[in-house]
Amino acid sequence: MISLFGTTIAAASPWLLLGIPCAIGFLVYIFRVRGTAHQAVVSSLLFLKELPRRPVGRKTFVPPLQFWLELAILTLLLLAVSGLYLARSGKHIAVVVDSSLSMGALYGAGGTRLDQAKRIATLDIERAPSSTTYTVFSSAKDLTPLSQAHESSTEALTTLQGAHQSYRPDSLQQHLASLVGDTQYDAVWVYTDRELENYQPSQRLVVNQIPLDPSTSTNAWIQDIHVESSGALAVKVGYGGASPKDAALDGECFDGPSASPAKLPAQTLHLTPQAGTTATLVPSRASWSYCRVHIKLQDSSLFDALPLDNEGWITHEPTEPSVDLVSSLSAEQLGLRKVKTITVSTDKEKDSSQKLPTIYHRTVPQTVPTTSTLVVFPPSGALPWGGSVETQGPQGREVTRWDASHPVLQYVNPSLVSFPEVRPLECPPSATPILFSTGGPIACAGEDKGARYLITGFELFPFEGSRNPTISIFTLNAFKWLFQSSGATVTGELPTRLPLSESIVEAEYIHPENLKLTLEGSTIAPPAPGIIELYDEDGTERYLALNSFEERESDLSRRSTLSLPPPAPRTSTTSSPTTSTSLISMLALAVLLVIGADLTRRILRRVRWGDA
Amino acid sequence: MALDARTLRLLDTFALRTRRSFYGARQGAHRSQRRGHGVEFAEYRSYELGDNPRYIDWNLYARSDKIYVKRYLEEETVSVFMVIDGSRSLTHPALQLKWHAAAHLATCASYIALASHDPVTVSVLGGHQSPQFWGPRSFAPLGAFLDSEGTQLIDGSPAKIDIVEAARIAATRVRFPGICVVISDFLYPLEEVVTMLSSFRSRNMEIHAVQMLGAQDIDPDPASGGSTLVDSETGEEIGLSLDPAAREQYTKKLKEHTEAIRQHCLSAQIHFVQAVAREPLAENSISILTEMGLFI
Repeated sequence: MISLFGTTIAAASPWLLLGIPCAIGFLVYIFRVRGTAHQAVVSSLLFLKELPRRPVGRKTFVPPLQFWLELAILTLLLLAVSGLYLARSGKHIAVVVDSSLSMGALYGAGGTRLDQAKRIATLDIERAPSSTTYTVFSSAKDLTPLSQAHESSTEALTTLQGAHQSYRPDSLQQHLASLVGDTQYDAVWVYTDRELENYQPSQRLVVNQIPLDPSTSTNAWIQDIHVESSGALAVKVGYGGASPKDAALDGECFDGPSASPAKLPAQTLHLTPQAGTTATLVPSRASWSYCRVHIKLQDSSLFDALPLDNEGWITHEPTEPSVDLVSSLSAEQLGLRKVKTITVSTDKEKDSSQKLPTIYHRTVPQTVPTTSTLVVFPPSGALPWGGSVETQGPQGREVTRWDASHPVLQYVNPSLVSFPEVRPLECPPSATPILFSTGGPIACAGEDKGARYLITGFELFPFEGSRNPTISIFTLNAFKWLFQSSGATVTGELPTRLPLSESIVEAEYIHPENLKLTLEGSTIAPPAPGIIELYDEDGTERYLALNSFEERESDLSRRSTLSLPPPAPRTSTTSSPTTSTSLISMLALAVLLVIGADLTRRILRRVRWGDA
Repeated sequence: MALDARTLRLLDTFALRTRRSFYGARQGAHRSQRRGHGVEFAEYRSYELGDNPRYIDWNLYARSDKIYVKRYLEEETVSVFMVIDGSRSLTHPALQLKWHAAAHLATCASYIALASHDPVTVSVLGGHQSPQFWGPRSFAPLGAFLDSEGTQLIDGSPAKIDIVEAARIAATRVRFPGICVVISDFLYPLEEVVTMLSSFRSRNMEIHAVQMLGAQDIDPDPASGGSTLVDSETGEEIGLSLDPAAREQYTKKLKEHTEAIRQHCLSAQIHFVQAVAREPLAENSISILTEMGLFI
C-alpha cells in the first residue's frame, strides 16, 4: 500500500508488481536485439545475404514511441493482473439524521430532538479519525443526501448543521435497509428518536437513539379538521400524555390575505390520553376563505413537546360543487335532485369547458379524466385507468370485508347490505379495493392525474335517502370524498410533490408566512403546512390548505420501534478493485488484441510467401 | 500504356535495324535470308531443271557459254519478341517503377516495330503471352495488354515465379526467329540468367538484354541504421545493418554480377544494356532505345 498525493494505492497481489522491472528489462533487450521496426523491400536478397552480418542492434538507446507503448501495455497488464486499486485510507461513513416530524419535539431546554441528534453526530464525527469521509443524509419520508460523497469531517459538520426539520413521517426502516446493503459505506451511523428492536451493535450499523425524557412526551395535536354541512369547523384533537389535561382550542378565519382575521370562539377541551376529542368551532363571519385552528395545553407545569403539529388549516368552498352526469337516465330519475350537497347537470355542452367532476352511470369514460369521477355500475370491459369490470359471478352479492378506514365507508356497515346485482372489479393499479364480495373487489377508490375516482360494481341509484341508509350514506360519503373535498383541504400526510391543475400558473404560501413556490410541471413541493394561494391563468384565485396529520409522529407517548436489519458482512473496501482497475484491464486487453492481430497478419503473410 | 504525342514524334524518327537477316512471314523492309525476286543482286547459280528461263543471265552465257541464273535478296518482315520479367522484383508495389519503366520501354520498341509492319509478340514471364500484333493499328491493343498485365501483377497475389521455366515456355512459342528483347533486372543467380537467355538463344534469335534496375537496387535502404530487409520474391526477411562499408560491398557485388552477365552476353552475341528506372519514363525509354543500338 503506497500513499501518493493523498491517495492510497494498493494491490491485491503485490508480488506481481515485480514483473514491471522485469518487463522493462525484457523490452529493452528486445529493442536492442531486434533493431528498428523499419522494413525495406528490396528486389532480391541475392547479394545482401552474402554480406557479412553485423549486429543490427542499436548502439544508442533512443527508443521510439512504439517502445514506450509496448512498455505501457505490459505495465498496464501487470498492474491489472496484480489487482491494483485505489484504496482509501479512512472509512466512508453514511451519517443518517432522522428529520421526521417527531424529531421536532422539544428536548429538555436546548432545542429539539433534531438539534440533540446533530450534537451527538457532531461529537461522533469529531472523535472519528481525520481520514474518515462522510456522506450526510436526512431521513424523513425520503432519504435525502445533504452533501456530496466523501466529505471531510469539517465539511460534514457544516452539512450536518444544514439538516432541516421535516413535517413528514419517517421511513427509516426502508432507508436503513438500502444503506446497509450499499457496499460503498463502511458504516452507517443513525441518529433517531425511535426505539430500537433487535439491535445488535456492530461496526457496520451504529444507531444512536436520542435518550427520551418521559416529561417531554406530552403532546396535543390537531388530528383532523373539516367543515360540516352547517358551516361549522369540526376539529379533532389528539392527545398523548400521562394524565388527562385541559387544552384551549382557538383559531381565526380569513376572507382573503388582505382582510383582517376574525377570531374563532375559543373552547376548552378536556383531553384524554390516546383518545381523540372532537370540537366544533363556528366561524363568526359567514364568508371566509380559510381558517387556522390552534391547540394549546393549559397546564403551566407541562409544556407541549411538539409545537409543530398544534396548528391546522382549512379552506372553504362556499358554493355547492357542480357535477356532470353521464347517464341514459335523468338526474330526477336517479334521485340526485334530492342530494343537497351537489348540483347535478346533464347539459354537457354547457359544462364541457369547465371540466366539472362527473358521475358516469352504467358507463365509463373513454380516457382517464382529469377531474374527480364517480363510475357507478359500469358495463363489463376495460377501465380507462387500467383494470376491468368482470361479468357477474354466480356468487358475489354478499359483502365479505371492507376497508373501514376509507372516508367513503365512514359510518357505513356494508355487512347489512345485499346487492341484487354485482359486477366484480379488477382494480386499476392506482386504486385500492375498499369493498370486497365473495367474487372479488366490488369498489375501488384511487387517484390518477391529480383527480380522485371511485368505481362501484353495484348500483347506487336511485338515491333513496333514509329508505336505504347504508347505500345512501355510502353515496353521500362518495360525493363528499370526490367532489366536496377537492381543493378544500389536504389532510393526512404532507405530500412531497403536490400535483396541481395545468391551469395554475403561480403558487404562493400566504400563511404562516409568505413564500413563493416554484411550479415544476404543474407540481409544487410544499415544505410545511399552511395556506397556499393558487393563481389560475384566467386570473382567478384559489386557496389550498396543507396539513400534516401524522398521528404516529405526533403521539410521542406511543412506542415507535425501529426493527433494524441484521448487520450484513461487508467485503472490505481496501480489498475490492475499483472500477478504474477494471478499465485498465480492459484497455490493456484491447491493445493486446491489436498486437495479436498484427502478429497474425505478419504470420499469414509469411505463410502466403511460403505457399508461393 | 499510352504514349504522349511528343514521345510518338520522337519514336517516328526511329527505325528497327537488325544485325542479322531472318526468314520473314511477309514481305517487308528487312533483308531476308530468302533468295527470290528482290531488287538487290545476291548471287549466280547454275541453271537447274525447273528454273525460270527469265532469270538466265544471257550476257554471262555469251561470255562463258554456261547457263547461270541470277539470284536476288528477298526483303521481308522481322518478328519482334518482347520478353518482360513479371516477377515480384519488378512488380512489387514498392518497386513498381521498374515494371512501369520496362513496360514503357517495350511499348516504345513495339511502336517502332509495328510502324514498319513488323509483327510483335509480347510475353510477360509470370504472366501471359500476347497474340502476334501486326501493323500500326495494333498498337492500342498491345498497350492495353501491357496495362492489364501490369495491373494483375502489381495488385495480384505475390506468387514467386520460376524465371527459368517461364523463359523456357515463352521461347517454345516463338514461330519465326527474329529479334528478342529481354527486359529484366537479372537479379538472379548467374546460372539462372544464363539459362534464361539460352532459352531464347537456342531459337536462333538476335537477343537484346536490358537490365532494368531500380534506384533501390543500386543503393538499397539509404536510411542510416539497421533495417529489416524483405526479399520481394520470397518474403524472406533479414536484419542487416547497412553501414557505408556494407553498402560499398553490396555495390561491388552487384557490379561483379552485372559484369558476369555482360561477359556472358558478349560471348553469346547478346547485346546487353544496363538501365535504371527513373521518371520521366518517356525520356528514360528513349535513352535506353538509343543505347540499345537496335533502333536508328
